[in-house]
Amino acid sequence: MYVLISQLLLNGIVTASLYALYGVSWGIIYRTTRIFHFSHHLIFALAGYTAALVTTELGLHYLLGLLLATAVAIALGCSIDAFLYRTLRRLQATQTTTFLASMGFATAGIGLIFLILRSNPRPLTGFPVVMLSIGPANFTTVDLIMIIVSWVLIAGLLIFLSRSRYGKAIRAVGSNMDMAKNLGISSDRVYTVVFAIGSGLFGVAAFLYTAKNCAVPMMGMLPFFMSFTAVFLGGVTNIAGHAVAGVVLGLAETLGMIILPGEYKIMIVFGLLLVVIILKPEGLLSRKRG
Amino acid sequence: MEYIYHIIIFILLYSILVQSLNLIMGYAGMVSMCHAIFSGIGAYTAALISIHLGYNFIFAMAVAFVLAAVTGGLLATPFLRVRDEYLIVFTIGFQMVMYEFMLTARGITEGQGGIPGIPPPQLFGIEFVNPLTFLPLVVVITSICFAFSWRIIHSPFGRVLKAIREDESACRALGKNSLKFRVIVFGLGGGLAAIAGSTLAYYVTFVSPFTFVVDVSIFIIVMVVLGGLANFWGPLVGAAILVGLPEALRFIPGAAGVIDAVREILYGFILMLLMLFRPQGILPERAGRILAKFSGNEKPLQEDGFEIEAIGERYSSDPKKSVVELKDLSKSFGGLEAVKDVSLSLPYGEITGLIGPNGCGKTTIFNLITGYLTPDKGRVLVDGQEITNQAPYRIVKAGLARSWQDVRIFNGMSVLENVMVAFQEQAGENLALLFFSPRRVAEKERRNCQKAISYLNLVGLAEKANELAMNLSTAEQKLAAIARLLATECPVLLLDEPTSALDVDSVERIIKLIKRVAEQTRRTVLLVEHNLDVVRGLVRKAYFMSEGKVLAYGEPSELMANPKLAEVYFGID
Repeated sequence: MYVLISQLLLNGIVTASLYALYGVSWGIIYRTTRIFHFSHHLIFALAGYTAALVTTELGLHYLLGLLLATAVAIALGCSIDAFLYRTLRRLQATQTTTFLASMGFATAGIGLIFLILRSNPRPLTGFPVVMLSIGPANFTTVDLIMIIVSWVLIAGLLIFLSRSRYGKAIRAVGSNMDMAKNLGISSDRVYTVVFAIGSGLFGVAAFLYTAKNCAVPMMGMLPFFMSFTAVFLGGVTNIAGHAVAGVVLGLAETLGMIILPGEYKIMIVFGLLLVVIILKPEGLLSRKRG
Repeated sequence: MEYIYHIIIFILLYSILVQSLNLIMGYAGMVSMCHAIFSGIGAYTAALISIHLGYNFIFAMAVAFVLAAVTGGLLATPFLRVRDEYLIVFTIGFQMVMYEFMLTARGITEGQGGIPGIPPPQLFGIEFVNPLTFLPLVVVITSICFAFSWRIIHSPFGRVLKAIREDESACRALGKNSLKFRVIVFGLGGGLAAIAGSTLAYYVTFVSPFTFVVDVSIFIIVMVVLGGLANFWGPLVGAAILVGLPEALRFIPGAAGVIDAVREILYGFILMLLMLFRPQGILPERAGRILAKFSGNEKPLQEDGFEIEAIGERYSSDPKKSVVELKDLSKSFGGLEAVKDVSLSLPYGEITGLIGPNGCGKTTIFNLITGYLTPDKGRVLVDGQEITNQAPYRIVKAGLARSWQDVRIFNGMSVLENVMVAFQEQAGENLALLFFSPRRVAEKERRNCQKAISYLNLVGLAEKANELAMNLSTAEQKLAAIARLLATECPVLLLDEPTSALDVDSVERIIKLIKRVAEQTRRTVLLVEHNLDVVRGLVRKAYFMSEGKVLAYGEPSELMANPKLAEVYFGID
């Protein structure tokens, strides 16, 4: 039992870190733009495939794979905003319309991946995987890097948001457009930056995910689900809350396996969200206003 | 030929699914990302009942309907209380959880392998085994489901759904428990989807979890959007095109292997392009024609077009007694005290004014009285009964109705529908009565329609009854909103700036109207108004508010003659 629990705890920390990263990556987009950005999962898949294909098919170094995966994610995220969402904003589309358009784009994109690459899993090669252990719990270098990279990125994002001029503009958009204008930054610019950040973070996460697993067409669905669940669980406006909620989800999912079989993972997550929404609808970490 | 029948069966089954989603998404304006799951619940229920218990398929489908309807209702309840986006979150979550359940709960669903060998349905000794015999059965089932949907859509119940879609808080201000309506329609949609799912199970004699993946839920959404949201025939068109199109691909050599991928690409792009270029779909919503058969050939109830009922007399008609009393009402937002210890009373059958500079807390008082905000302290009494902290729709039931500064007319509904939705205790809002007591519903509906036209006559909009509210001018919209408010038949009316942003003629007209309503029907009115001429013309006495407090009470001319108050009002130093 001790062995099991310490192993699960370690897995829990890895999962929790990754979920925290998922959470902030979608959260920064949603809290700023209020777009239910369904295409986020396509971005994950495309970044994952990029990492797998350039390292395995082209034989490039894995760090180059990371760079390209992130670049592809950022490029795709910003293009979706520039071409799809901006057009919809001009047409004064409702939130639901934008959501549906995003879902259409993502569905078509995943269909294209299916068509071109089929559904066989594509691995990422070259990433140094070494077995490590703490006491009875085993893990790999991938796990360790997942933890470190996730928290460095999250910390970096929080510092950027609180310190930099752009960070202030991002915080202002969504709550107070005028203040953003006073900072001399147009809201379209802020949206672009936010999509770049969110997609970039998700791209890095996709790289790490592919290093551990493999790229498959629907790989982004579960991370996407975890990302928006963390956002609503933590409270929409609070970026740090998204990270904390990601940790809660990751730990609950992993430690839940002490009593439940592994298939019930997603049910635990869903149940948690249900309970929180009933008891504290504004989210775990949101201060109640008004 | 068999192949053609097969395709038609699929189109019809999908059209039921799409129609069931149309109820939820098109009419009630809610997104459901888990519609495949509801059909899955139906399929598994029918399969298990038929295999293990051997009951007739009609019984099995009835159980499937009830089970899915209850699941849908329970699923919707907690999420609809919070904001709309949560519904997307939860239905995606539910979709994933239930799919996982179908895959893994081997004891019930037999996991990935699915459940084979579902016995074919039998009726009057006929066994429905091949497409040829199955087609008539599917036609009958589809017709029943469509007739059921038709009845709901074209009823007072359906009208409330549309009002919720257009503006939920305005709908609650008309005495509708919007949550109840949304939960019921979510359940009904789920139940109908289960009928489609169970019929599918009988047709293919096999249930597999892979039939109910998230992609299917998305496909159903694409179909409903393509056909046209809130159009009754849209689902048939959407299903016909999107089931038929990928089937046509099968005739292209070499395409069969990639058909799933191509379908996904096709559906995805269609959805995206529709949202960009034609969100209303192929067949747009047909609003306003529903009641055309009534209007025109119906005479209003009285010569001058207004049925004079002394609605105010619902309360004890002692002229000295106040109908509404506010006692020490307070509300603060964060550190800001928006309303502080406000006490006021509305004398029976009179128009009382509430004036004061911008941001003095007038609208907050309205929101506190009508249940849109909960006071930190204090009480609200109507005819001696406490109504503090009650939900907005209950306050309407207690006899208090409000108008909105920003009008909040239901844009996508006809003017007549806007008024008709406001009546209380409509028989046709009760589904049991709607289906089992149609005569009573029709009778009441006829009567309400006459009354609605009378109200429209009163405000001078009768000839525009069948026009969409969004096509009216601002002044006409304000008049329509007043007709809608009167149709709640509440004895107390709270009017929030009824004449703002209007031209002189319209202002004149509305003043006359309010005066007449108050005098002839003995309604009690609280009027918030910026235009002092309007206040002088209508009000005998008024409360003067500033910074959340009542400073004075008296005749308007008296109040404005007071230099101190005038200074506060006009902001002169």
